Amino acid sequence: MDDPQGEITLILAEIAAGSETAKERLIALVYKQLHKMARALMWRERSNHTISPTGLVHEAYFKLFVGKPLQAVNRAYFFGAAANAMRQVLIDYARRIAARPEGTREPLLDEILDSIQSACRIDMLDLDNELEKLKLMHERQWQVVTLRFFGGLQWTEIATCLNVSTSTVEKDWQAARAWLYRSLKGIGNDAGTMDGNKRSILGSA
Amino acid sequence: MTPERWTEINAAFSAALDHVPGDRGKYLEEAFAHDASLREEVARLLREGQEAESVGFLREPAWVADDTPLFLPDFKDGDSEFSGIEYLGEGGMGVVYKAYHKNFERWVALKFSSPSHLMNSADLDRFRVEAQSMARLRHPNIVTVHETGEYQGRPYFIMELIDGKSLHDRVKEFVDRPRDAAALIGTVALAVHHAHQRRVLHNDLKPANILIDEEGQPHVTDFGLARRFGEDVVSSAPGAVEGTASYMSPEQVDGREITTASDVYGLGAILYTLLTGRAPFRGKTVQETLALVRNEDPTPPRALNPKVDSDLEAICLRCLKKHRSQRYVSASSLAHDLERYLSGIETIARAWTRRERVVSWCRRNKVEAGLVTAVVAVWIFAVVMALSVAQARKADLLQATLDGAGFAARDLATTAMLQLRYLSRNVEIATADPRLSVLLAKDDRNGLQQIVRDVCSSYSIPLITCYIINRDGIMVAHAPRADYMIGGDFSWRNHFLGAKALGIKGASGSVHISRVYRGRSDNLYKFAVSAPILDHQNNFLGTIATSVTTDASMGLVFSSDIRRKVALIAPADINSPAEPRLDKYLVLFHPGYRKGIDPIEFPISKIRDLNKQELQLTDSTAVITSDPDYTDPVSPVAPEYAVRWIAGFAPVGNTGFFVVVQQRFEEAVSLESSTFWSLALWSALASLVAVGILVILPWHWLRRRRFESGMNE
Repeated sequence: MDDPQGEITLILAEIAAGSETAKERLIALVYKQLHKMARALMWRERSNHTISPTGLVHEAYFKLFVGKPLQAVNRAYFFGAAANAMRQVLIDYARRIAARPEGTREPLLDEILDSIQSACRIDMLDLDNELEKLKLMHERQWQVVTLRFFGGLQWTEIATCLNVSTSTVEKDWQAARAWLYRSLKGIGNDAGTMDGNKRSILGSA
Repeated sequence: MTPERWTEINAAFSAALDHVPGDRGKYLEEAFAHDASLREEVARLLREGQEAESVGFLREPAWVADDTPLFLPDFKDGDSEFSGIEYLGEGGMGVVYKAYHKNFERWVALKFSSPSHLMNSADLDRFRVEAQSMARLRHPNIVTVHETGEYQGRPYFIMELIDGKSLHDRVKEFVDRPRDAAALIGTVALAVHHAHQRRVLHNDLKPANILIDEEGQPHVTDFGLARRFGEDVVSSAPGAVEGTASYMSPEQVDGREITTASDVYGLGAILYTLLTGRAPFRGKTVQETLALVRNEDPTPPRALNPKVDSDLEAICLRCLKKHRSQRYVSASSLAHDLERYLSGIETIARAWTRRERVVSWCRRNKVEAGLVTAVVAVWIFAVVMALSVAQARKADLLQATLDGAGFAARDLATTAMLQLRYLSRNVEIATADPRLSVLLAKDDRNGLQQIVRDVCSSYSIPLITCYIINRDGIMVAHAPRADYMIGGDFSWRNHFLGAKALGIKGASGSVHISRVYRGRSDNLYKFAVSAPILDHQNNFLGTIATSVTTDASMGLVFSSDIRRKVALIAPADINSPAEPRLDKYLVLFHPGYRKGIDPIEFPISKIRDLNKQELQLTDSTAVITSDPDYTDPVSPVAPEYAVRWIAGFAPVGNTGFFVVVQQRFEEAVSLESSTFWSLALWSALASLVAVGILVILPWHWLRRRRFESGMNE
């Protein structure tokens, strides 16, 4: 990984050629980059502005592709990978905090998790659990949710990523969201997740 | 749930979504009639989808809302020309930092493009080109780009640092100060025009792109960059465009050609925001906003803020016209119209009414307007004063004329009385003749005839007759001799009845002046002076009378002159016993009365008050009245009398006769009032000239002094 730029070019070429494992490798690569940055940012003294994950992703992209031209398709692949990577970073962190609340905190990730928690009123681990179930039921719908929710991609970009039509993407989203809503509401009713009682899982941020 | 079942549900769900919400239930009923559980499952999913939407579940991606890039250029002291880097904020194009430039020896703003805008090299090239074109612009109200550079492959440019906030943060301050908003946009428009002249379009004009320094001066920033990036912004970053869509011109929304008129639109949109506190168009979503920009007219600013006046509103709305040919032709044209508005001059945007033009001229030329007002006021005052004096004088004149007419009428009534006394004197003498009662008692008509002939000849007046009527009203003597009259029954004549009434009262020596009648002998109008004939026991025996024909003034001489006309009015007798006795008056004598025409009837209402007076024949202190608006009854036959008259009326003793003295109203009053009119005009003219000399001369002198002292400096 000393030359992430060279590697990523290679990976993108493989993805373009249809390699599924290349996609996994891209995610791993972006994950590594994101995680590194998140940890670095932890120590950086920031001014009063908050740091958004989108910015983080953009920044990761910039670090990986400095000044390199990139086709729209590759861009979508990259964001897809970044979305997955982002999700993975957050889930891993949430799990770790849940297991060892007294462990080392990463303020940036706390902040992100907290913002998801308060804006969407869902618990990250619950969401991930349900997403895992969805992935087994309908993998493409799982991808749509990941790209949309974690990647912040537009419908057209998601369609490019998944190589399906935009209307398919939107229908997948509607079905998946309705199902997730049902599932999480069920959990919320049982354990109060929906009203934010599980904040403690995310720590004190 | 098994993937198979889920796939099945999904297929039905997806098919249902192709129908509008209202039809989905019906569709499911028809398409899956056989599978109730599937139907139920899909309906539930649809319901939950709607619920999720309404509570906003996962509506926004986890982290699009706050899009602050993380990039912090970690320039280190020593190996960079910058120090003290500090994050300022995020602009449309990128992130802005404050930094101290060691070579320039001052603080500058450093702008790095947002990473999201630099996804390919073409974008990078554009960034550089546009930064350079912006660097060419030198204008006090455009943020100056000092230099462009690159750091770690990332382009940036160094700009002048404006201490202050963007207009976006200060919009609310202008809602109460529309004129300040107009002035600010005027300044911005001139800056934009400067760029237009150098072929640089801004195309992303919005409050966030106008920086306001500590002195309140605007500085336009993000110049010439937005144009190229605009479309990318719309398609790739919805969060970022939302602020911008409200300020986009319709042609930009439609992807048509962008011109300077698009920036004029943007300036209008900013002005609108300052005037109303909100952008001209604001939908719930970007698409909705763009549709509004494309199709809807903005709410007039005055509807949202009554402090905005019509001219400023018109200027603002002119900028926001959908069709660019209807906007200002250039940004400078807008600036000049705003300037016109601020100076109180008529704008291009809205034609003024005549009243507004006058008010505006007065506001701009206070000295002249004051002068004109003063002069007009003095003039009006003078005219009003003169008029009121003239009016008072006119009223005095009218009263004098009225009084004069009344007194003249009384004088003439006295003259008439003397004439009547002269006429009655011989009758009185005749009644004293002791032969008369004897002859009448004997019915000696020859003897009586002798007496009447003597009486008749004792008068020096022509056309006079004298006659005796016995107690039964039968004429027994008549002079000049007229045998056909003898034996006629005149018991119904007023001259007989009046004298008989005196006789029965035993009023010896009294005479009666009769009403006017048409003489049977000559068919002329006349009246008679009659007296009763009594015997020693004061028994009534008959009457003796002298009649005067109305022709030749009946011997009454009235002096009419050019100004004053005199008329004599007399009560009318009946001309046959069968006629009803009406209280009727005739114009007996009148300078406009023509011979041969029957006497004109005189409206009794004019003299009713006088008629009621109990007067003696000899009464010389007769009551008089006057009428300032008298209509001459003769006017139907004498057109020259059909004017307004001032008239005085006086009774001739108790005879029932009246004298009318009349004078033309215009003659009496107007001549004098026109004199006063000219007096008024001349005095006003004099005051005008006086005020003019007093005010204009010193004022001009002052102006010249000021001008000359300005020249000397």
